Amino acid sequence: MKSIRIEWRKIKRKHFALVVLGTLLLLLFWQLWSTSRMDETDLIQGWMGLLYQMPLLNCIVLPIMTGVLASRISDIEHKGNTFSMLRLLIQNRSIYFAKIYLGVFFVGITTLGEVMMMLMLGFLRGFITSPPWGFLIYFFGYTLLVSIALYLFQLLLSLIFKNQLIPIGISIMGSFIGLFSLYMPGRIQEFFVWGYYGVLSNVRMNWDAVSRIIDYYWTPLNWGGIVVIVAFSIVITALGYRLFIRKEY
Amino acid sequence: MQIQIKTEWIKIKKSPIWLIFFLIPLIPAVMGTFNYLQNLEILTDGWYSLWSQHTIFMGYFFLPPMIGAYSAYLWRLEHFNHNWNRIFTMPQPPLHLYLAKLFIVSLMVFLTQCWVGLLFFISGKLIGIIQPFPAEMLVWLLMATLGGIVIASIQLCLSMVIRSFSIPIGIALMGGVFSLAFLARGWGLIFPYALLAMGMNGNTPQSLDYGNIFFFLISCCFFECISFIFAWQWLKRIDVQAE
Repeated sequence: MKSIRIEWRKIKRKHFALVVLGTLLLLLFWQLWSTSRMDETDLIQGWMGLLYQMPLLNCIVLPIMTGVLASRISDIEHKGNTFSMLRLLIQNRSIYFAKIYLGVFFVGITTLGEVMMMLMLGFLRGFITSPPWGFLIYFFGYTLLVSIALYLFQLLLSLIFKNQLIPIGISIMGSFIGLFSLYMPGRIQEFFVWGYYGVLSNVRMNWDAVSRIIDYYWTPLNWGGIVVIVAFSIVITALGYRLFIRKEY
Repeated sequence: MQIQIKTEWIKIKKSPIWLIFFLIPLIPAVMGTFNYLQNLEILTDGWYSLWSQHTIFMGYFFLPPMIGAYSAYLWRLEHFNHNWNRIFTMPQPPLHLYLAKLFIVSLMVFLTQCWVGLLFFISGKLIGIIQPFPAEMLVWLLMATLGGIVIASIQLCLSMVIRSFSIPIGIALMGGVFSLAFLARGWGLIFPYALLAMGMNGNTPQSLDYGNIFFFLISCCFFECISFIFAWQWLKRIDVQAE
């Protein structure tokens, strides 16, 4: 608890909330723009459309956002050369997990904000069907899990490399790979953690090139994918911790 | 001024910036080519179709943060160890520092576009596109370089003012995403982050042609001037107390 309180004090005037707010505003503007012209068919499929588009946007935005969060949280120590001093005062484990806690908190707020935003958009645009609560909860769950996995990965990199260009560069690459992987055949997508927003999504689309009509449909929930992402997070946390305690700052 | 340019070059010479430089454009080259091969029945326009696949997301989502990373990296050292104090006590106008960084990042943007072009050419040859290579793509790469330099000048201002390394990169991503909305409305020329994608001419809703190339150049100059004036005024007014 003490280490978490210390982490909170460190970021007090660092405007972390702006990172979350900026991400949500970006997603909101995009969705307001993309849902601005909806006919009756679109309004019937409104929730499906949102649940289809949001993972695509998340593939672009959230890898970089988690990279920025992890970099900010670690860079405070790199800039002040405070890791060695901190280690004298607090246990390695406490430092590492306090930084995880902090990132998970912001990632959680962002994901919750996304769901609230979708609900708001649904009511604002007047979607004809009622909100699919179960699928919205599933969306919240898998988006949170993937974002936590990406944050853990980025935190590992940001703690290991003093030069934050490397983790940020990898987050940009990840975003690119994640987005491109969505256009690849199913099995290939599953090899890239950044594309898991799309892999775990339970909405797919049929697009008729002649009539230019989009039809969305539900797919079974991807529990296997959830297991993969949880396993990835556990492995990355263990690996990150191991590398962090061995690292000489 | 030459000394500052040399100094900035030393900073990036053996830095991990080259890792980003080489690897990021490789992703769309490999994946875009793969996508092209998967959709040969729809993509029938040879080099142009391949170009659309290579650049489909590059100009909006990835090159702006990449340029943001170049710019943030060059300012990073100044934000460390009270280096701002040293800058203001050096017998050189601080504005030269901004201009030297702009020169180096512009060079990086130019090299990035050359690398993108080279990868595109190699991909096309490897998959056996038989039509002659369209020379206008060289013009698009040049225009994309100019659009990229506009982003660089703005990102340099942001990274100069904001001491965080990563926040300006996040802003670059936001700029890139918003550029899509501006291009869709045909307002690409009034939004600096849209100029790169527009210049690249790859699958954008608003494309660059010989009719609007003049306005494109005017727009580039305008945003360059705005950034320059901002940097000049900011560096003139800021004092060591900013530390």
